[in-house]
Amino acid sequence: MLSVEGLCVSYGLLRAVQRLDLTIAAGEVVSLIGANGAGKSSTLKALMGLAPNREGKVSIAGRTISHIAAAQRVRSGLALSPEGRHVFPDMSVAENLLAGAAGASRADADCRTANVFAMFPKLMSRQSQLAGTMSGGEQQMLAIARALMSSPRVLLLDEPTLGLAPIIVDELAELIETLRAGGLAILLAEQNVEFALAVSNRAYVLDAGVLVKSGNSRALASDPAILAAYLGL
Amino acid sequence: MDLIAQQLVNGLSAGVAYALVALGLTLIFGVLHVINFAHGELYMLGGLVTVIACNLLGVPYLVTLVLAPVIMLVVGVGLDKLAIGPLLDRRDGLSDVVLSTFAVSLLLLDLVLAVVGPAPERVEGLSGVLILGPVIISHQRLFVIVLGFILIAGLDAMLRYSRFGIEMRAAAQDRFAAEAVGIDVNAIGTRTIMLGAAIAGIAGALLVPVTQFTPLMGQNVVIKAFVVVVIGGMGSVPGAVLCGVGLGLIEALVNIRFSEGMTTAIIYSLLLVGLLMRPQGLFGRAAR
Ligand SMILES: Nc1ncnc2c1ncn2[C@@H]1O[C@H](COP(=O)(O)OP(=O)(O)OP(=O)(O)O)[C@@H](O)[C@H]1O
Ligand SMILES: [Mg+2]
Repeated sequence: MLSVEGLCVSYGLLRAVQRLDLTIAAGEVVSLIGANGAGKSSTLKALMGLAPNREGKVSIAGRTISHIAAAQRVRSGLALSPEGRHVFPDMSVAENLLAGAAGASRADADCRTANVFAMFPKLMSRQSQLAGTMSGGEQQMLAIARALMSSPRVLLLDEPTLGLAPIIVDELAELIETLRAGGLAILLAEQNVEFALAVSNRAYVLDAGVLVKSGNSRALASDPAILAAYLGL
Repeated sequence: MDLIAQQLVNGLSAGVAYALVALGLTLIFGVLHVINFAHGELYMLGGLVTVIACNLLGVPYLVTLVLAPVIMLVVGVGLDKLAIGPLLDRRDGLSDVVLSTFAVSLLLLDLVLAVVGPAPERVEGLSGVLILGPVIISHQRLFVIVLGFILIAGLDAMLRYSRFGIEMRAAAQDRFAAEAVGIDVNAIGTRTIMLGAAIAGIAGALLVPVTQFTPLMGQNVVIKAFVVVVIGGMGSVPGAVLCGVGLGLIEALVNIRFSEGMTTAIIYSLLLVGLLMRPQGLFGRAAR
């Protein structure tokens, strides 16, 4: 569903991501793991067209999108739930969701809102609350729900477990499984290696912007050399 | 007492102009984080369209209230494409825009001065007066106040409920997230400038029968609008409306006792005190 060839991201002289290749199939969860500053967020931003200096070929369902702007990438089926949630703080939950349906007709947007509320009943009961006043976990759910409002085929999740209580992390794992079973392709960037390897089918390990290992998540989870060398576990 | 009531009515119509001009400024600041120094000239051009249409072409006054904002939409696109949009992506884009819009402001002002000359020009608005006991309100002034508040309410509803309003607020509150969810932030920026220009244009067309047209009318109002935006809070819509109307009222009351120069001095003292005491403005953060 998503295929990436030779992705490079740089900030001035710093090369944050170097010639990364990756693929994700529909109905597959793939995790991108690595220490702080390994280049996970830079990869996700570049896929969305939001990193300033990027190179490489990105295609979604066979269509090349590397040359188009973020708004068009969203329309062709890519969605990002950014690191740090980035909800619109002075807008209500319902308005945040509506903002996530950019380009859809009002009727479509209402229909998608109903679907999202069915998936996140807590958001429905808070629909007129200002997003900035919600708890971290609620904001995280809202950020994911908002990304789903564009009806994506590929969902990019950046550090969704950051700052969440264990019980909420379990809920998140269930949600990811539900979305995957519905045919979504999910790329999960995570510091929480244990969580990432538990919910994903495959994983890529980044170190200082370079892909050092990839493979089956279960196999990686039982490879102490990898865990120790690149992830400090 | 009668004098105070009369001055309050006069102050209200001036306040509507300040609020409308300040609204455009504050929306543009909220979405694009730039200060449009040419904003006063957009107000002046709205007045100029009215003068030309009414006095030279014989167009009915009420028609110019549609004509002026429509023409200003086009001027807004031009302003964005020439002096704002291309500079924003540069490294020092924000300060470049201060200079470029200032240049546009001087260009427009001097152009109009050169062609039309400095003499004030009258425009006939609505005729007739309303007499409420000791207070005399011209129909035109009443019209300015009523239509001004209708415009403000309409704008508020648009910001709250329309898709454009929601996307505009999203872009103002978190530009990165807005881009990430597929909002075309550059297009929203252009449309915000067009909206600001149209509001300034209709404000100019509304006020010109009350104040008369002069090429300097934009300068006079925009300076007050800057005060309003700073005191009301950069990017705050309720701040712009309340402070705009408030400034018009205060100015009219102070005018009873003091000369015009003194009034201006008092307003700038308020600005300084406001900045020192509440640098984020009375209504705080970003556009909402
Ligand atoms: N806007 C930027 N300007 C300059 N350098 C940047 C910028 N964004 C990221 N970097 C640098 O790029 C490198 C990769 O950062 P990135 O945010 O992609 O890492 P990450 O793997 O997501 O880390 P974390 O787990 O801490 O979120 C880091 O060295 C970072 O300092
Ligand atoms: Mg990161």
